[in-house]
Amino acid sequence: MKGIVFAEFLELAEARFGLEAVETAIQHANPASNAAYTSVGNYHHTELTDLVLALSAHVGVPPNQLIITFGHHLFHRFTELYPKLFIGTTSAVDFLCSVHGHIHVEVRKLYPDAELPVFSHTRREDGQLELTYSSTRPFADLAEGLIKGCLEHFGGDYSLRREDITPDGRSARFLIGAA
Amino acid sequence: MDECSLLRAKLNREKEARKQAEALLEQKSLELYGVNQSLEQRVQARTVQLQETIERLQLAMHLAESAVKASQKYLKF
Repeated sequence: MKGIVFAEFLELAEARFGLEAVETAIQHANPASNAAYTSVGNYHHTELTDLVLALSAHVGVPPNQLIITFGHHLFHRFTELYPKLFIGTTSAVDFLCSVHGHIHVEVRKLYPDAELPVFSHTRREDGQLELTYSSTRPFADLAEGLIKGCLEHFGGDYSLRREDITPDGRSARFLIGAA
Repeated sequence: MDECSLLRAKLNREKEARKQAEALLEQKSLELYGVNQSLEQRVQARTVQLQETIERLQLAMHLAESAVKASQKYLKF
């Protein structure tokens, strides 16, 4: 999993819960990388789940809530870090339809063999956008947070409904419609 | 300034430097990826062209050989 996710997670956690909480979480999770993350690195995804669980135990916020909040924040960071991805895109739906291609290039440019999550989309007859996340890693909560961040970034009234395809967070369907 | 403030200022500079280096690598690797993709496309297009040329030449050679055989038969008689 790309380092930017880890680096941004620690930054947000520091800002929200303080240096001491983050340090305690790192010591408990004891990640192989020693949590010395660089955004251009590549780390095993279980380091993130371990850190989330350790932080959750320390601050008393459920892990899925931490990840959704983080995803929401991460999307806003993407708008600051990758402004080029947003040129010419005016709606959340347009962006979400193109997101798979963006992930593909941004990850593959550094890691040609990286295993990528799949975001497929279909526009349903009732006008809703159906976005399906599927991955070998259990981060449907992160996808939910990112989608929420995206909807907020572009503004407008949208409804978002999530249906888990598998209970382990590896696959979920998101229905986005005009509210 | 106390040592803690000095260290905080230094840490912020280090962090800023890391972020600059990361941004640079992101940008350069994206450029490299783009150039690589276009090179691969060119190689593929040239390979197709080359294959077509080979097939044309093989056909021409076959025709020429047939013509030679035909003329040899004609000369024998």
